[in-house]
Amino acid sequence: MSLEQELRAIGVELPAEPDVQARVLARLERPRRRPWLVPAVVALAVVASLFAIPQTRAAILRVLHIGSVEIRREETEPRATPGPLPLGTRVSLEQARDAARIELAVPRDYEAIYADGPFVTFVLRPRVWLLEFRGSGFPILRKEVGPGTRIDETSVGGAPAMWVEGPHVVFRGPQRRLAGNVLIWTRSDATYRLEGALTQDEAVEVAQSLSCTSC
Amino acid sequence: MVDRPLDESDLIERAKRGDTSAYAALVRAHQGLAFRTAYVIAGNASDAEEATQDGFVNAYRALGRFRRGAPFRPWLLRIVANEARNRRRSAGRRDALALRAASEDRPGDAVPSPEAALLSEERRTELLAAVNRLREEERLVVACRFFLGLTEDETAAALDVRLGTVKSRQSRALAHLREEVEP
Repeated sequence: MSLEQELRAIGVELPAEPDVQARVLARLERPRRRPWLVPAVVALAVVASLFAIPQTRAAILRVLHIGSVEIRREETEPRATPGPLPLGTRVSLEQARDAARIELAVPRDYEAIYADGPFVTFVLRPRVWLLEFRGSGFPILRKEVGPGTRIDETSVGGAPAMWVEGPHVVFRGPQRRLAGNVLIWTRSDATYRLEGALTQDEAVEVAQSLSCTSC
Repeated sequence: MVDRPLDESDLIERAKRGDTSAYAALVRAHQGLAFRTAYVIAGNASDAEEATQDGFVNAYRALGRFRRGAPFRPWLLRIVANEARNRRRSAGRRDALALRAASEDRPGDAVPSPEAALLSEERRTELLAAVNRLREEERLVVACRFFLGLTEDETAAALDVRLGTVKSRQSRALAHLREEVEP
C-alpha cells in the first residue's frame, strides 16, 4: 500500500456533523431576494461583518453594495440631523483633482467645489450636490434606510446605479446625517453619489451629462 | 427524460432565481463536507458549525456571481473555509488542530474508509503522529486531500492558495512523512 493509500485509510476522528439546513433556510427566507438584486449589486455579507452592529439597533433586513457604498435596510426608520456630510474646505478644480486621486466627473455648471481629504463634493445648485471619491469595493460610506424608503436598480450610461428615494441615514466614519433622494453609481475605481432635490429621471440626466473620459 | 432528477446545475439555476427549496437540496448535499472542511480549518466543532451556516447563507447571496457550469463544490468550500479562517483568526488561536484516529468502536465519528481494516492500529497511530508533527500548512493539505478526500482544486479553494502551492505542499508533506515513518 502506498503512503497516500495509507493516509486515506487512517480514519480520522471528526465530530458529528450538524444539520444546518433548517437554520440556513430560516435566515434566507427573512430577507427575500428581489429581482432587482443584480450580480453587480450583490449582498456581500462577509464585508458587512466588518461593521459592528450595536445590539440595540433594529435587525438589519438586507445589505446591498454599490461601489464603495453599503446600504442596509432596517425595520425601523433611522433618525439623524438632515444635511450633507461635512464638505471640507472650498478648493479649486485643480486642487480637487489632486485631492481625489481619481479622474473627476466634472458637472457643466456648479457653484463651488469642496474637498474633505479625498472626498470631493461639487455643489451644483442649492440643495443638490455630487460627491465623488476613490473606491469601488470596500465600503466607505454606509447608508441605513427604513421600510418606507424605495431602492431602485438603474444605470448611468451603462454603469450599474442605485436610486434611493426617501429619507435615509448616511454614515462616513463617525459622521451621520439624514439624506434625501440619492443616485449612486460606480465606474472603474470611483464611486459617485448625487444627492438633493431631484427626481430619479433628473438625477440620471445630471449624471449622464458629467464630463470625463472614463465616465 | 421527464423523470430525470434535478442535477446540481439545475438546482443552482433555480436557487439563483430565489428558489430556496432548490438551495435546501444543495445545502443537504454539501453540508457534511462543508462542516468537515470548516472543522479542519477552524479547529473546533462550534466554530465549524457557525462557519458552515454562515458560509451557506453567504454563498446563497453570492450565487449571482457563480459562473454557470463551474464546479459548485470548490466555490462553496472557499466561502465556508473563509468563514472558518475568520473565526479562528478572531479567536486568536495559533495552536493547530491535533488530528486523532477514530476509535474502532465508534465508527459513526470516523470518515469511512474501505481500506481502514488494512492498516494496523500501530501503523495508524504512527502515521497520524507524524502528520501532526508536520508544519501547519502541510498538515492542512494532507488533511484536505487524504482525510477529507478533496481534490487538488477543492483543496486550493478551501485553503485559499494556488493549485501549484497545493501540489508543492503535498509533495513536501509526503516527503517528510516518508522520512519519518518509512523503514
